[in-house]
Amino acid sequence: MKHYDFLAKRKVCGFLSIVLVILSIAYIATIGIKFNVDFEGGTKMTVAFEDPDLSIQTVREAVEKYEPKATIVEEQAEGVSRFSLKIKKPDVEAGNENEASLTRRRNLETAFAGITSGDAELISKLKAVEPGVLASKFQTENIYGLVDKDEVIAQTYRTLAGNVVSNAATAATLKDLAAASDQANADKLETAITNVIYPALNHITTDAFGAALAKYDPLKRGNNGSYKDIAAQMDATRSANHDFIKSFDVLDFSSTVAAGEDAGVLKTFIQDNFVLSTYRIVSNETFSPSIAAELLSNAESAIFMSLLCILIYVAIRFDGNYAVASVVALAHDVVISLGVFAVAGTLWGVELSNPVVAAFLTIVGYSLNDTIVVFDRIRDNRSDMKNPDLVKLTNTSINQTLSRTLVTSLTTFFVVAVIYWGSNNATLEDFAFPLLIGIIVGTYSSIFVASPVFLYMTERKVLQKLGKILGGIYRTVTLANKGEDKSRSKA
Amino acid sequence: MRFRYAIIALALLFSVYMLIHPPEGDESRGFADYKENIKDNINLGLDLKGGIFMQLEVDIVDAVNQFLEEQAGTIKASLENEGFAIATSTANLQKKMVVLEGVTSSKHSDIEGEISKYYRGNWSINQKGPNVELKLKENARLNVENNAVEQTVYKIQSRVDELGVTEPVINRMTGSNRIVVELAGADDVTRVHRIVAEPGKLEWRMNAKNPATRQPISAASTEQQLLAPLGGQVPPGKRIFPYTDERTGAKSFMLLEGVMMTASNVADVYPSTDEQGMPAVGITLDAEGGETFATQSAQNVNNQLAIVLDGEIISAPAIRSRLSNRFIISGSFTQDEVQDMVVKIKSGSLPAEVRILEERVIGPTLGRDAISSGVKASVFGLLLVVIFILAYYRRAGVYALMALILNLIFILGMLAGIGAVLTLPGIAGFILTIGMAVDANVLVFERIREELRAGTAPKNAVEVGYRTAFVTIMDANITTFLAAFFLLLMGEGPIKGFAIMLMIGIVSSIFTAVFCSHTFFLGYIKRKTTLSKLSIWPVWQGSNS
Repeated sequence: MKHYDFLAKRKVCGFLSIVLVILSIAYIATIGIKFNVDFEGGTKMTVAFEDPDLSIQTVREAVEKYEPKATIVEEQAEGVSRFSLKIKKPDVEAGNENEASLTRRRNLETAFAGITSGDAELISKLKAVEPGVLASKFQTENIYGLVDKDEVIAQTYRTLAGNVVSNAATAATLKDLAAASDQANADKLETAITNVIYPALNHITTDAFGAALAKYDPLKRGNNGSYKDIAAQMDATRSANHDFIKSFDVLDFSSTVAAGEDAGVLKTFIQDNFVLSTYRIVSNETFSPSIAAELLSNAESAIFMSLLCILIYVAIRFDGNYAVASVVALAHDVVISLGVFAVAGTLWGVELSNPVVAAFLTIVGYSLNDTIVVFDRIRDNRSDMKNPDLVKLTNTSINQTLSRTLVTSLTTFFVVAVIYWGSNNATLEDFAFPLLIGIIVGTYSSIFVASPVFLYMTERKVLQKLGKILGGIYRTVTLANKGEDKSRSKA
Repeated sequence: MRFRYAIIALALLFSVYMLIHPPEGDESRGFADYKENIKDNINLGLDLKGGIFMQLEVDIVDAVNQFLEEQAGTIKASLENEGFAIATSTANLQKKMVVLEGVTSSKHSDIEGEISKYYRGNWSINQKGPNVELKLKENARLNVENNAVEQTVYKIQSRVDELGVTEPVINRMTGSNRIVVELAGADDVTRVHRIVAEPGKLEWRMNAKNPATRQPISAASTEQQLLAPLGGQVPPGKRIFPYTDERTGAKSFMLLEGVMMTASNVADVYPSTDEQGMPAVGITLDAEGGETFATQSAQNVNNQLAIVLDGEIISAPAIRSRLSNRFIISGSFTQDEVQDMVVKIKSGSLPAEVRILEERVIGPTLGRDAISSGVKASVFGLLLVVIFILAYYRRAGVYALMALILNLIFILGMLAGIGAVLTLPGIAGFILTIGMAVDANVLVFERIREELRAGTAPKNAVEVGYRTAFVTIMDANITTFLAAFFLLLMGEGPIKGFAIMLMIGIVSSIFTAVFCSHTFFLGYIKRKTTLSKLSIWPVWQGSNS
């Protein structure tokens, strides 16, 4: 077994660490860390298009018309093209946030629909539909949420359906169609048609699809019949085709429907009541500025509180010198990891988000793990030896645990590397990146930072001195107070 | 030894059972459908299942303001009924009070005392010359705020059905004005917005009368029975509504006239008492509503009225006499029932503005992709760890590996057993655990190697290794556990899933690495009567160090 003299280089390492910490703090203070929408407020959206060759330029042009502040990044995806959009700190009037977030989503949907086929599919459906059928659908769904006498409601929707069908003959986009049919409620009508009247097969969740079928019950399964099997079949078909059904023809329910049920009727029903759509919103997250500020402060206090508790725990299980040393090492890890993260933010646009903070807290936990193992050995060895040379003893302890430190770091690094390079998932990657940095910095610090700080604290008796100083202050203050009391009582 | 194996077998059995048992209430499935069962037993978070997550905030300041504005009107009206003349009544939102100006009364000499009689419950009353100030008491204000949040929760709960969501979660965050809404499988953001931010649809309808006999049509248990006296046809302008009696649970159907009044006609709803002092629901209508109701109630004495919220009858009181704009609904209610009904009727109007603080809409495919890439990453990561551990520890490595595999099964079993939610970051936590879990074994094995180097006999080396490493393992893991605990406090959402996964992982890793692998080792030692060498050295170092 080789024996390395780690502590011989402790001045060099200490210097290196201090420089890195200062650089990190300076970088964070001046250039700063980039925050994701969950810490800054705003919207993050991921959208996939059926067309695998769609260029980011096309998407950008379409989106800029509605959301000039959006930043767009293309993501890797198989068989489709996928983009992520971020709109940070959108300009919204206070008190109007709810409506604004809906409008934003609606605008983006319009932009996406316009990129490929436009609303052609939807409009051709509206052109062909029987006005009475449409009216009864409007009424069943009560798309405007009307409260009135039933016959009044029915009349409203009959008129509306008539307008929509007749305007469909000439309108080019759904927006125009909605505006021409009902000027006052154009927005409501537009979203009702896309989301409620003709939901898109490529957007809808499996559950929502099953529920929609159950509501109209095309197979006459009765009140308690579920359409879970049909929904699962649709979802399976969709996922077999890179999550896009390109034509109603690929849907095949012949093996799914029960005996006596007509798969053809079902298919016709789906064809009549759904559209396909050439894009899909994969995910959409919106954070108001107030919750963003709160999430950030929660994250900060979580990191701070965990450091504090660890300090107390180590102080109880070991003693103050160990505790201070481990927290110094931890703070060192977190600061340098944040620094590297900030630089990566500048270089590659990596942003601090909730999962990233979770990763940082994990760094706190695992970096400490390493440190504790070394300290445990130091404590063990100290109790074994009568007259220890502390430097030698510490160095021996580091050597004894070195193999374990490296093995654990290595296995952990393996799996985190697999997440980072192999998962092809943005959230998982966000999470793995700071962990990769943290594992490297944490392994280094448990050898080259924690132990030297512990040595320094113990040899120089820093805590005792600090205690004396504090005690001195305490005594002086109490004495002064007593003196005051006495002088007061005399008077 | 037998005892040790039994514990491991039990833990394994329990975990496997938790994972593959058929879901409760589904008779069609057996253990043979284990693949399907696993999917159902592991509770997936919204970020993996797809759906809508929202964190809402009820604007309680707005709730109190609305309440004050409303009260300024009703207090004036009620006092005028009692023989007071009041010039103006205004709400002072800053000071949380209603100011009555120019109060005179020919009937009462002690104006302050008289007003106190009616309002001292919720208000502190202070007369300043011709003006009287009613300041909302602290606990009354808290009540108003609390009701606003409860009403919003109730309204969302009662309307969420229309989304067809199977297990909606609508929770008020304890003691706060925040509400968390989780709608798995929902995809219609617009409709969810409407549900959370728009008032409920409240309709007042009169029970229909038979046009021939002019007698009220009584409720019936089936639609056919209900329509029998009418020749089986729903008359124009009337509608059938289902009615569930809250106390008896009896279901029936009522035929109702068109909408008589809506929420906008209701000025105030409050807990009150009837002549006998029993709890009752007090209602004040606005001028228009009062007029309509006076005529309608006069024509419908001994008929029933139905209050319909979002298509469901919430109350169907009988009309005993002609009523005005102020009346009560009584019926040997308990205090709680009254409170409940007040909340329901009020949810027809918005008690306060609702702000959507956080909104996540996860499409149907994201989660599936994440799970499949998570599984891929887990398998690949596991493979790397396996190769390394086997090469580095040989036979001992095999035990570590068995422990690791048990560990993964235990973690999933516990996840299913305690019904914790697996989220996307949780998957990351799971993969991370694969890497970290071998740590405890590594600690032990390194100790054993040290003992062997020092010349200890293999049997003793194993014992000493496990014993001494135990303290270190505990210390190192408790600190990590602490860090994970603070993650839990970071709030709702996916991160919670990560923290829980980490905590489960730590507990399970300690058990498998310390107890299980030790057992396997002991079993091996026992089988070998003479053991001069231990297979614990790296393959590239030969059989000894």
